Amino acid sequence: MATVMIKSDRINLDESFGLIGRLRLRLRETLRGKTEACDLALACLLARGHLLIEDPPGLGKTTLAKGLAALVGGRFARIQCTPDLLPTDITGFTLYNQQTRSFEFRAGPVFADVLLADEINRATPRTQSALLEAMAERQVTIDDDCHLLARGFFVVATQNPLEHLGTYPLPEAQLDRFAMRLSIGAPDRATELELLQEARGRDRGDDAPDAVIDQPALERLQETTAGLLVNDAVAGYLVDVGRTCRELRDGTGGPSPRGLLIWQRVAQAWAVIQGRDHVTPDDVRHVAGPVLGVRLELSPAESDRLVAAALDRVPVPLGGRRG
Amino acid sequence: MRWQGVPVPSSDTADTHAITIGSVRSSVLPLPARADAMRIDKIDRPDFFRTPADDVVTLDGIEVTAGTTVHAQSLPGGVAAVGAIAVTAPPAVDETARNEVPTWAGDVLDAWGIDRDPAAAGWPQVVRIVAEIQRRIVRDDAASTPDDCPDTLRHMLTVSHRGRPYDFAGAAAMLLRECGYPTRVVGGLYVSGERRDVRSRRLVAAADDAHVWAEIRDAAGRWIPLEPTPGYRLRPPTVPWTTWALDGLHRLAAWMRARAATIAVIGAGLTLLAAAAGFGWRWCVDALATAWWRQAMRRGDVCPARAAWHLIAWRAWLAGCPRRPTETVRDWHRRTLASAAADEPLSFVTAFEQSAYGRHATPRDRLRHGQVAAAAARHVTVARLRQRFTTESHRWQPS
Repeated sequence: MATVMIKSDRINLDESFGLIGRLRLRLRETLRGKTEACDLALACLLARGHLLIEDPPGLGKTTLAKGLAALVGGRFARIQCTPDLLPTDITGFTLYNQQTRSFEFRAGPVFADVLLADEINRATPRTQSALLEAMAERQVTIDDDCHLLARGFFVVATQNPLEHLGTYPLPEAQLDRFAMRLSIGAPDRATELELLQEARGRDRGDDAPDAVIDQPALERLQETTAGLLVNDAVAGYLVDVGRTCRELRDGTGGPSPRGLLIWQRVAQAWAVIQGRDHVTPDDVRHVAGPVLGVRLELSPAESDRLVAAALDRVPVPLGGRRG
Repeated sequence: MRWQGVPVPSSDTADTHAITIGSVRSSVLPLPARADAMRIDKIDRPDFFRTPADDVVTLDGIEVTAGTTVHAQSLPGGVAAVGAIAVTAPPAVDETARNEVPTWAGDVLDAWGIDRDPAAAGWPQVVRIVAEIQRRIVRDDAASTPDDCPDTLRHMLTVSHRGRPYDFAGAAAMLLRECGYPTRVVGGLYVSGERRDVRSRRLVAAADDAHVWAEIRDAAGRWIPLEPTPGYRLRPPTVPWTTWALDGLHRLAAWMRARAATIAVIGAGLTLLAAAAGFGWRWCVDALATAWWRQAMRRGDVCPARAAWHLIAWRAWLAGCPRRPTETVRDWHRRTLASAAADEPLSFVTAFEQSAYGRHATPRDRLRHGQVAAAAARHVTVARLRQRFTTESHRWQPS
């Protein structure tokens, strides 16, 4: 019986590896020259996390979000966050229909499969908080009615790290809802030249990729990812690094237990993307920077240094009991 | 013994003796050691004498009359030369010699470290037994045995370690018989040459000069005297150096047999030292680690990828590029061998990760891991690691 179960797992994994391989390929074609960012964004999606991208305008944040939404066959919605954006502009509202003489619910953009919250730090804290329940619980409550969001609801939020005038920094509780913080960065010269050559004589907006999978398939991939093997030794390593981060922050910050859970899930997703049926310390280390960076309340450079210091303090286990 | 009815002329090759009987009441004629001819005054009939034992002559039951002079001839050198007989035949070995020997005699020999192996039989063993008696037992003319002790020799050899002169001869005979040598105890007179009266040219023997020693028979039938009692000048038989050499080889072989494991370890250590001198210590440690790895790979219960990693980790240490404790195997590989042309190491890292962090390996996985690990062990050598890792900037020093 056990043998059959393992075999069944492996068939599912093999299918998953094939689907993820195609997703990676198409996403890399969508966002040229940024394979690492593409893979991390995909890992975030597979881990059922939400993604925060910190980059100046024009580096491909929207392209990445739209590409992800198109590849997984989901509905895409975008919110341009401004100080006058209201919570109901995101979640939706109840409207009285005079013809039917009843109240109707008008769903907001949060009911999409992939939501791009552009320049989220320009929205007021009240509006930002409206996203809290949606991101954490995948549901919104309007007029005492609870509305479930899509099972694969995925938020890609962006913020400009350079411009702080008229912005509202995301509170710690809000940041903890994101799985990782990512910086795409400018592409290299060759990629930029290639982009210019391809853009000649072509309309903007006609480069949206076709869907590779549908939402049920994405859910199956996410379930497969959640079930990936994490060795006890590897899990212990992850916890030790997290605790070391807290020690280095003098106990005033660092990843929460929820952050560790998300970190493990992202490491599982990264392992699946690498075509492995188990998580290794390399996976944990690879995603540590983006996952912990959003939780350390430090600048990207400072958080990278702190994470590197933590990783350099904890010995890597060489095997152990299977978890 | 050669009997002659006429006086024996003195010569350079023989000693002549004229022994006058005093108050001894015995039918045994007093003869010098190593005597080969004798006569008594005018008795010229050989059938008048009897030889109840080798080298023992009697007057056929008649007591020798006081004042009788026995003329005898012996080999030159006197008493001092008696024991120095050059043995030409090995000592005889006869199993019946053990018949009346008590069982504890063997224990005494074992306790003294005497090899009782029949293959060790020979004059060196005889000489060793006699020498051990002289070394371990103190001559004490007043030594006594408790009244309730039934065995005088056992008391002397195992308890008191002190004995009277005649006990030494008995002990020697018993221990030699235990080894299968036909041995006898011989009684006679031992008169020191210092008591010789120069003026009368006589040597007077008294009752105190009575002495007992042992004689062992050689394969040619000769009785070779042995002197186990300390204080008596009788040299042991002259054994040819070839016999001693063969005995030494035999003892060396026995010693090596008894310490085979120790010798094997010492031999391996010396071989390693020699190899270290010739090839360098890194080569030696690597050879040891590789031997361990090969042995581990033969066993079915060892994960091949993990065993190979241990081997490669040793080699990395030898090459000066060990894995840091906070570094993953993949990162170590990236730091040291990333640009290597061959794919074996990377495949090996994947196999190691699967065995270390993944599910239990299936037989197919184990087979593949074994192949990958073997290829990695061939590829990632100390020399290659050192060659790829020579610049100081790549080295890691523990903080």
